[in-house]
Amino acid sequence: MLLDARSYPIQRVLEQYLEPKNLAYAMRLWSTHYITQPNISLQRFVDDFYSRQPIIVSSYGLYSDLLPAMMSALQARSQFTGEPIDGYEFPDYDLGGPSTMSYSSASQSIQTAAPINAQPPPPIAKPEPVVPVEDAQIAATPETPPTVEPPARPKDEKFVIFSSFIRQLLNGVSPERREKMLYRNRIELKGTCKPEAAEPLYSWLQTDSDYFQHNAIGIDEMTAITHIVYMGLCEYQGPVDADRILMKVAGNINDAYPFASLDINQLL
Amino acid sequence: MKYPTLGVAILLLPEISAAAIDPETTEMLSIMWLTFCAMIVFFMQSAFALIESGMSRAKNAVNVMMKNYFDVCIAILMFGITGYAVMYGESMQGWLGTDKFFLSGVEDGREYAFILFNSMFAATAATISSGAMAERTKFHAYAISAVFVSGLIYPLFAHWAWNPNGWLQRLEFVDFAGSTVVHSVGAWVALAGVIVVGPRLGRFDPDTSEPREIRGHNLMLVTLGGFILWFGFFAFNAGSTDGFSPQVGKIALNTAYAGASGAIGVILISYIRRIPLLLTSTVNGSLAGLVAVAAGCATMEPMYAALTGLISGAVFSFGRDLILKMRLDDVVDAIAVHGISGMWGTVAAGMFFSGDLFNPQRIMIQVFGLVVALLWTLAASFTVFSIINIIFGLRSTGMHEQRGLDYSEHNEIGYPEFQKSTFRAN
Repeated sequence: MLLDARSYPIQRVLEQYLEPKNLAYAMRLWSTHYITQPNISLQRFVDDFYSRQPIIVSSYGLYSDLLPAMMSALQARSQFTGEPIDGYEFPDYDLGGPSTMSYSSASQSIQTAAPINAQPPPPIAKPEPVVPVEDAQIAATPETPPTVEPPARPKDEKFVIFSSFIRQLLNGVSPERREKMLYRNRIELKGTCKPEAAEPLYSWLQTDSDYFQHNAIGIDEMTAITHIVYMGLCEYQGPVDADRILMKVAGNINDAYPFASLDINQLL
Repeated sequence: MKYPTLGVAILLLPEISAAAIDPETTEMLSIMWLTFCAMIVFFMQSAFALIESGMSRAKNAVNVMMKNYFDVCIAILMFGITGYAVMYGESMQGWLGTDKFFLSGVEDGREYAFILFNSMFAATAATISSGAMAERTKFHAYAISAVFVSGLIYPLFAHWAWNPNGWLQRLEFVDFAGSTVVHSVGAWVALAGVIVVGPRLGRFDPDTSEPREIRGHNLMLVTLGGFILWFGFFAFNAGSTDGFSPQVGKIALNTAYAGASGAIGVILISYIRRIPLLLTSTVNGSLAGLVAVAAGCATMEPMYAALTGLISGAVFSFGRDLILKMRLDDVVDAIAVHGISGMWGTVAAGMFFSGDLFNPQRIMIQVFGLVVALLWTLAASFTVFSIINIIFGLRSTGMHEQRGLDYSEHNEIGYPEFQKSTFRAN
């Protein structure tokens, strides 16, 4: 797949969601870091963009549409050109996090979209010139249009915020040191919550996923987890950086979720 | 015109004394002198507060100020209750004072001034540890330790060294204004505290053990504190004449020389070692010089005082590194400034003793005295801190450390415009 051809649908989608200034920034980020990455990195691209570019928007639901829309656009593009989309299937990938698409709705939308691993549709002889994505969708799959269901809002907004907060804190440490940090503090981390939540929590922390939810975790547990992560940051990044990261991430979260049900300051 | 006249009168006090005016006037002037010096030494507490607070992070600034303010209160009272008795009560075989508890039997006007002056010394010894242990020590635990430092640990060693019948005094141990008796004792208390309380979160890299810099939040406070401490040292040393004396001029000059050369010593050694010329190190270098000269400021010539200060700058620089190598987290480098430089100053007082230079026997006595101070203070304060740690817990919780002790211990914030949104609103 040509890179330009891949970037085009992304840009078209972003144009519908972002201000020109933010669009330019997002495309820079895309072309610098993500253009060569497999599609599985799209979510990281979206989250990376949010975390770097504080956007004061009252509804984070707007962003939840962004990832599925980009997926659809890429899928349509793929069907149009007849080239597979690498990494699109990612069956175990958690689509939660700041983009609020739940795992189930993501899976559903993937299933209802054109089957990637199935027999590809007959290739179109001359794909050039590039046509707009919307036109391509209509032209390529008139009988089975890709249906992306409206994303379900998260069951608990608190966990969306909490997960994003913790993930961004952990991103303050290099992956190698993060792994060490988590291992070193594993007993404390698991001790912050009830046994049934301890193992899922620790497993989640070791992944790159941006969403975690467990009913056994309340505000006190979230505060304790934040504290353990902060202590880890102190150890592995130094206390000065730890304070800086904590304040910066808290500021990001406050900007991204200004009227949320969970005030991030409660966790500090 | 009132204040310049008063200033001139103070400057002329030694000359007035030398004029052999009647004893009653001399006594009155001595009381005035001691009281005046006590007030200036009291003012040194503000300098300790400024330096320690400035070298701490903003989220702990109030806590450090609070500790400095409160330990003065404790020390002044405890010294009156037990400290003075232990220090200057009737000596039991040169080891311990046995009367004058609660100042019973004190009626002399000069003795009151003397007690006030020595109370300030006790407060100085007690406050040194607050800076070293800053940013992670519980306020009430520290306050309890100040009770023991000012009421027992400092006065007992001061009895040995300064009471006319003290056993170290009888060995002719020289420590005129307390390089060892006040400063080193305070520093060894700090050392014990730092060992028991442990380093701040993240001070040392867990993999390499390399120390990480945790810069203070306001170096202007540190510098101002340095100037005020220097000013206070004039009274600290000159007031140790215990009254009106023609020695005052020389003592003050020696103090000034040592402070200046201490800073220069740090600068020079930093150039030689190719390390940055830090403002904090420069201020600490001058303080190291002032601490070092305290022992011999009345018994060494001014050029030797300058040499003592110069060397103390280097001693401080290496001492600081030694403390870090031992993975001890001393926030304000109090152990290097007051402890290690104090040791050097005590040895220098023996080496540069006017009229008896480089007398090995005198030097040995000095070394013996400072080792005794180290052993007694370290053992006693380690015991005190350990007991406090077991009963109350010496160290703040990690959560308090994260939020800052200003908020978690005092519910007050030093810089609300920066910190208002960072806490749980409960």
